Amino acid sequence: MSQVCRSLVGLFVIVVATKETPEEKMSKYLLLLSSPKTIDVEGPAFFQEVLSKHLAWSSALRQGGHLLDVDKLRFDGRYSLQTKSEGIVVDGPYTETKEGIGGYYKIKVSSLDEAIALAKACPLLSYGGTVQVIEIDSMDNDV
Amino acid sequence: MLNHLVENLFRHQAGHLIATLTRFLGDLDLAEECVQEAMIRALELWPYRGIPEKPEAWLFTTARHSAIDRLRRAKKIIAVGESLDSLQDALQSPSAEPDLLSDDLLRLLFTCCHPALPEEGRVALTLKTVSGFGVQEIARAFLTSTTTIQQRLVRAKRKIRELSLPYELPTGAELSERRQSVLVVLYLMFNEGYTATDSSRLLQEELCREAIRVAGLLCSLFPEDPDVLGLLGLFHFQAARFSARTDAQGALLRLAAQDRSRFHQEDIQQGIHYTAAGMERQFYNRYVLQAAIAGCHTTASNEEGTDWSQILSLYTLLQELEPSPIVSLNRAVALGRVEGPAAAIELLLSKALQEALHGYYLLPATLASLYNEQGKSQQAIEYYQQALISTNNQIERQFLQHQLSLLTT
Repeated sequence: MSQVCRSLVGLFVIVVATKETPEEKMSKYLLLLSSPKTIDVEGPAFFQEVLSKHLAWSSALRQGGHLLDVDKLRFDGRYSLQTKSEGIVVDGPYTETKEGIGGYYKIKVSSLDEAIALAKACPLLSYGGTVQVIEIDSMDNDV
Repeated sequence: MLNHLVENLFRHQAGHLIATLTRFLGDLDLAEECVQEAMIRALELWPYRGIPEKPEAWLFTTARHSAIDRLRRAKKIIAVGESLDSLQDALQSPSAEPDLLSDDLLRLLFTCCHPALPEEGRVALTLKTVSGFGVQEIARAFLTSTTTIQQRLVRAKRKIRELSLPYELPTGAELSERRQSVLVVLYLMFNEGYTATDSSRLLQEELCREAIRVAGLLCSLFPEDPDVLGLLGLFHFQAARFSARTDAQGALLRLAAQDRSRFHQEDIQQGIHYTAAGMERQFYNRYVLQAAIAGCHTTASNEEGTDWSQILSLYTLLQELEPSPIVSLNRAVALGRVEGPAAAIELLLSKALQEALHGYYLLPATLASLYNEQGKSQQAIEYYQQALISTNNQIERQFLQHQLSLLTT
């Protein structure tokens, strides 16, 4: 009984909180990062430079409260699946290996403009890499 | 998650990793490839996963895996199986930490500086492997092309293979002979960083700092050696003046015009420490004497307070020990300060010095400044013009042109 009461109280608090500070409508985006096809590998100082810039960028995302999730994807172990008359056929791995998407950042922002501004600051772009910005669809979007 | 990369982590780790892998693999190229691969892995993963708790250990393990993979693929695993096992053991033992790694670095350093290798190749190879400099960086530092540096590296490595030079520290009498060769490489490395001021200043300073770092490493092996102590003293005294050597526009400043409050105090303290330690062991030593001279300049409170007669006697000793026209030129400058410009001019116009330093811009530039001091501006102008013909260095030319403009307007 006390358990139920506590969760009800919890619910109540949450409802009040959202009512009092109506949160700005946030959208979620996926940033898909691809490394450049050929990165001009120029010694340890170069590695250090690229990494430092990238880590500064990702901590800014985190500190700005934007970062929801981040991970690295394997270049091997990718298969595209297609249905043919006999059933599911494995067709892969992708040929794009090194040119493919290296990893993703899932972020929370107030607008597409903000998502693009954050993506533009990604240091990979200045080394010939690409960043795709994709909005994540939501049930609440039409509300 | 750690987001802060230790400064120079990759540059310094590269040397350690290459050195240790080379000891086990006996193959410098293979070691370099594995370390490169580990760093590429870091570049792929760390932006998403953050920096591992022990980045050095992570790089090490990754490079080791890369080595094992490559050897397996090349079916060499049986031949080197033992060394791979011991590599694994060594990495897991507590002694696989920095001390042991520095020993490896010293072994690699002595091989890279082997007297059987061409001198230019020694410097390039040391910078590439021990110090973790990229080919482009070395080329920029030496004002030459990447192709030239590549060639020097290839030749040096080929020589190591042809002569089957071991990655080991020499012993007995060979050790002291080989140490000389290492000192020469460090001296060249430092000088390149200190004088070639027309490429990136940051890079130049890193080159000097790296020479100091490796000399410190050498000092851990030879803590009582006056050569090593003197060299470290000299490096620190020179490095103390690094940021004061140029003005806000990057133009070269003469020592007299340098702002002494900008001298780096920690370097001065280190310079005093090493020079004093060197003097205690052997005063009459070419590196110790050079350190003492640099110390006289760097520790003087101002140009007027410089003890020129002390500098003159140090140069006289140095000249006896190691007769060289460059030393004579510098000694003449000191003589000019002590006895007046006429004595210095007489020395510089001597036939022997004129012949030995033919085409070296500092000879006419020094004469010009001495004539200027005497108020003989016509001679000063002629010698400055002669000096301009002899140098292509932009900053040096700017300096000479500035002196000329002061005389002609």
